[in-house]
Parts: sequence; C-alpha cells; structure tokens
Amino acid sequence: MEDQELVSQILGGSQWAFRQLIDQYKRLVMHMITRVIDDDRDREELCQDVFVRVYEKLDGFHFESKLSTWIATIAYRLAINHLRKTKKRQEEQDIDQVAFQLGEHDRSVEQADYARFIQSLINQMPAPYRLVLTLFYLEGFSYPEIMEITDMPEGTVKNYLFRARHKLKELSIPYIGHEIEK
Amino acid sequence: MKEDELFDQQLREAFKGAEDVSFSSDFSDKVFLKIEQRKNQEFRKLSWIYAAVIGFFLITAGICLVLMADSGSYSEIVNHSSYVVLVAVLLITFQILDRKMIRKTANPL
Repeated sequence: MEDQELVSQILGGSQWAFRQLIDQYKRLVMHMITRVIDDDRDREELCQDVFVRVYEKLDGFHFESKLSTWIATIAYRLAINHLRKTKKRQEEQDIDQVAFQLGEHDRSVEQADYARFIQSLINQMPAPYRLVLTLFYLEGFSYPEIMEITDMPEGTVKNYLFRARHKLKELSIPYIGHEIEK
Repeated sequence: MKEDELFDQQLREAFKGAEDVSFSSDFSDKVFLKIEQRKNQEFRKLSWIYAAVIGFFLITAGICLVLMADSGSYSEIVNHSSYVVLVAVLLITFQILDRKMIRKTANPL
C-alpha cells in the first residue's frame, strides 16, 4: 500500500493501517535507535515510543518529505533526547582515535563472515559515523535526507561518510583486498 | 572508480547480511497500549485544566457579583468596554480546550 493511502487510513481511524505502518518501519526505527543508543535494554521501549510519537504527530505530516525520512527523524530525535535524559551522551570521539579490535578472522572470509566482520567494526565506531553509514548503506537514504534526519550540515554528513568508509576499507583490505584489487 | 563501486557494493551486502533485528511478538500491541495510556493521561490532565479554568471563572464571576451588588451597579457591566473582550477571551479559551479534548479523544485508534 502507498504511504499516502496508509496515512489517510490511519487518520481515518484504521487500527489495521497503523499496524501495517509499524510493521513496515519498525526495522528502520530499530536501526536508528541501535546506532545511537548503546544500551540494548532501552531500545525496544524507545522504538515503541517512536511509534507513539508518530501516531500523535501524523496529522501534522503533509508529505513534505518521504514518510520514512520523517519517521527516521523522529526516531533520531527521541534517541538523542533519551541520551540527554539518561546523561549517557558521550563526548564525540574522532574516528582516528578509536583503537579498532579486529578479532580473529580468516583471510578467506565468506560473505556472512565478512558481514559480521564489517558489523563488528561499525559497532566500534563513534555514534555519528555509525548512524550516517547505516542511513546511507542500509536504508539507502540520500545526502539531503540524511541531513534532514540528523540536522547535520551537508559537509559534516559527507565527511562522516567519507572517513567511516575510508576506515572500513583500510581495515578490510587484509580480508578482502584480493577482491578489491581485481 | 570501479574499486570504490565494488567496495560500496560489498558494504551494502555486508550491512544487509548482518542486520538481524528482532522484536517481541506483541510489539504492535505494546505500541497500542502505550497510545491508550497516553490518551488517558492526556484526557485526565486536560480535565483538570478544564475544571480549574471553569472554577476560576466561577469564583471570579462570584466575586464580581458580590462587589457589584455592594455598589449597586449591575447595569454598568453591560456598558463597560472590557466586557466584550472578557467574553471573547472566555469563549476562545473554552473553544480551545474543548477542541483539544475532542481531537484527542475522538480518534478511535
């Protein structure tokens, strides 16, 4: 079902339509929350709060952006507010200051292992880098959409993405270098 | 350039391959429950505000009546210039509160 149809049904009071919306976007919301909040105890609770907020604000949404961008923006802001409230917000660390733990990986890694390897590297990155990478590579958002969601300037988004990508490439070369060099 | 594209492709696949997100089976139900709780909470809060505003106006009106009864000038209230403004403010306040309460409670979700 198209997003506009879905939204109009929800505003008309359809519980089924709102369940559809939750099913459609809960992964996106969880990805956003996971990238900002380290503590996994609060994550699902926070995801639910995002959908409560979506429900409350839906009548003010007029498709100025994609529904996914709007929901991701709400998720990001709630996650940041949660960090502020719990005072768990850490000083922003530079990616070059992180001592990445590479772990034991076979050089002839299978795709699934490589995926886990990449994930382990991403999880060690500072939150803004993790977030921008996830939005770009996993959710397929464009630069302007990432700017809208995170409220970061274009230069900052590009910088985070470039440096995170560069770091991943640098750390991956021992494992996939033979493929890249083709 | 080709190298970059290949790496981007590998990154996308890596992201998709490793993103295993799980939710409790009653995730949607919990969201609905929270919405219901929030609506009840909001309704209670607005009811208190509504009651307080009405109470305030009643007390104010009572005081005005007593004061005017003492001075014997009931008829002056109609000629008073701020009377119209006072009534307008009262009506707008009631309307805002009323609309807010109706809007929050009318949606059947």
